[in-house]
Amino acid sequence: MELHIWPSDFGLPTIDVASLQFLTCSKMCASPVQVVHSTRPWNSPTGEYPAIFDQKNKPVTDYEKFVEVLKKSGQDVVIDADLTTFERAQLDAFSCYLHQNLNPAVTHTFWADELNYNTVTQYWYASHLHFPYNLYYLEKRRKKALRLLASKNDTTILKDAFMALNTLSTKLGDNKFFCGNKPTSLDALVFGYLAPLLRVPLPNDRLQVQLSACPNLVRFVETVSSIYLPLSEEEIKRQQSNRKLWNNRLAKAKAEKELAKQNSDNEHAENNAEEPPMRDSILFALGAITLSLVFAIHTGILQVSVEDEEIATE
Amino acid sequence: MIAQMSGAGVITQLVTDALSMNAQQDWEDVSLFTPYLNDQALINEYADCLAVQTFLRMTSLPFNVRQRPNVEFISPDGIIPLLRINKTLITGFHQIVDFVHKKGVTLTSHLSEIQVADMRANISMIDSLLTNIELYILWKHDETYQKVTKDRYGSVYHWPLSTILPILKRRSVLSELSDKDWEAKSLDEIGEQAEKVFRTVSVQLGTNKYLTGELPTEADALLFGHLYTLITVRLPLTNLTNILKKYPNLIEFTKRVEQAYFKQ
Repeated sequence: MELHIWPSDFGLPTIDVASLQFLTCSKMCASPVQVVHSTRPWNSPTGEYPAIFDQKNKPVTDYEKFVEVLKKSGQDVVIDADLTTFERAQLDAFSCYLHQNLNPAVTHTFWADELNYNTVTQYWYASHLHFPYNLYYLEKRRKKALRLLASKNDTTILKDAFMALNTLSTKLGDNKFFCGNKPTSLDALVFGYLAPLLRVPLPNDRLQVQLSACPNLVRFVETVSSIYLPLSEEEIKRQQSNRKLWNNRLAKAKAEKELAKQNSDNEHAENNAEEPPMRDSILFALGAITLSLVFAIHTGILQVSVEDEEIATE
Repeated sequence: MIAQMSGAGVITQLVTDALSMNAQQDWEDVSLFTPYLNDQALINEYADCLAVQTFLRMTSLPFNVRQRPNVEFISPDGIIPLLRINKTLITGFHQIVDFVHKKGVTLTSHLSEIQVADMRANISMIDSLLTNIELYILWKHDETYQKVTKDRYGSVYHWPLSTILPILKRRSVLSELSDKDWEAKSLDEIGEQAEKVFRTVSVQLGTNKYLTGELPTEADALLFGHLYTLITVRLPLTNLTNILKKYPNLIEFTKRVEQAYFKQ
């Protein structure tokens, strides 16, 4: 069995939310699945990573099905095995809740927020995929994200996400994992949503700030990543070397943001000062006069006598 | 610093939104606008309208139902049903619950924070999964579309709108489903999803009167809306009803709520 996921960066074993969820879940039950860091998502049936390839079966790209596959793979550690039916029911409900309330905000943060997208997401994917495919892929994925988010406005998305983070924090309490001392498939899901928010340097970080305000969630992310997803020495070194580049980009983006903000404030002030603008009133006056003239000529109030002159000259 | 400022921006925005809902006004002359429930409403719309009605009856706030053919277009964001108080319009189950909550009427005051979290999770599961399942069956399943959806959706328009509008609506719903990765699912997978929802709520309901014990919450209202619709409405496809029959406590629950709130 092979698990194909996006490469690692920013202290994360993989950059993408869904890939991270798959990876975490497989690590939690110590599955012998072979992890392949790849940048060729067209191999997957949906054109997206993560995907599980198995000689016998069709490729799997759905999280629930992946968990089923892990349960049936005959490992010593079976994920979600010790749960009561009641706990399992809650698990299902919570994974839906996260998908509906937290996922839109995470997608928004990485794909729909203009500044974040330009500073991090676009640059990262563009430099990891080869030329013309990266243009196509980024456009496709961003369009899809925007379509998914279109039904809600930005404030609602953020409000739901803040609420979801608080709910998660309450639910976790002082426990190590969401269902006591053993990790479950829900823990992998939560980790997948939260870890990129904490680790990836972003210029627009409203969600990050809100997440940092829940210390037990931050502790949860640290615990899971140190137990199940420790990075190798080379990985850490390689990521350190890139770190500077990202910090530069981040600083630049923040400066731009500040500048844009000042500009918009200034423009706002100027616009207010010279309202209504002179040009608009002149244009309006001209338009009104023309229309009146056309109307007058058309109905015969004014008559233009060109023919008379012609006759006279003849 | 920047982060804090933008964070503050969001909160200001939230407060402005909350104030614009004008929750202080009196609960007078309240109307709930729904499509024609018997001839026009599709199962997901019927379920949502019923859920809101149940919720309002649970809070014992007075309201009257007005059925209009074009509620979809009256609603500012296309979400059904629509609640009108004086000049304020509130759309959809979640916002109505939110609004009523802001007025200080709440069904969850007896619950602990963790119970409220569980309730929210249930609401979100019932809402997202069952709605998607219903949309899939209505618009993707060919027989249902030809025999039920097309006629009901087009019933309030004259020809040629009665032919064109269902086609347009079908296209938009299908593209929405495909963005959510639902369009490619097979009927069996839809059945599995339905089974998952029913199993989850059935386990949590157990032998209780309502999902969280003796008193009803908004999750019960939403659950009742969907279950009652699925039990009573006849569709060419009987898979869902058959799956639902495996969970007798859910059917009991539906009868109980109907008895308590819809039979005088």
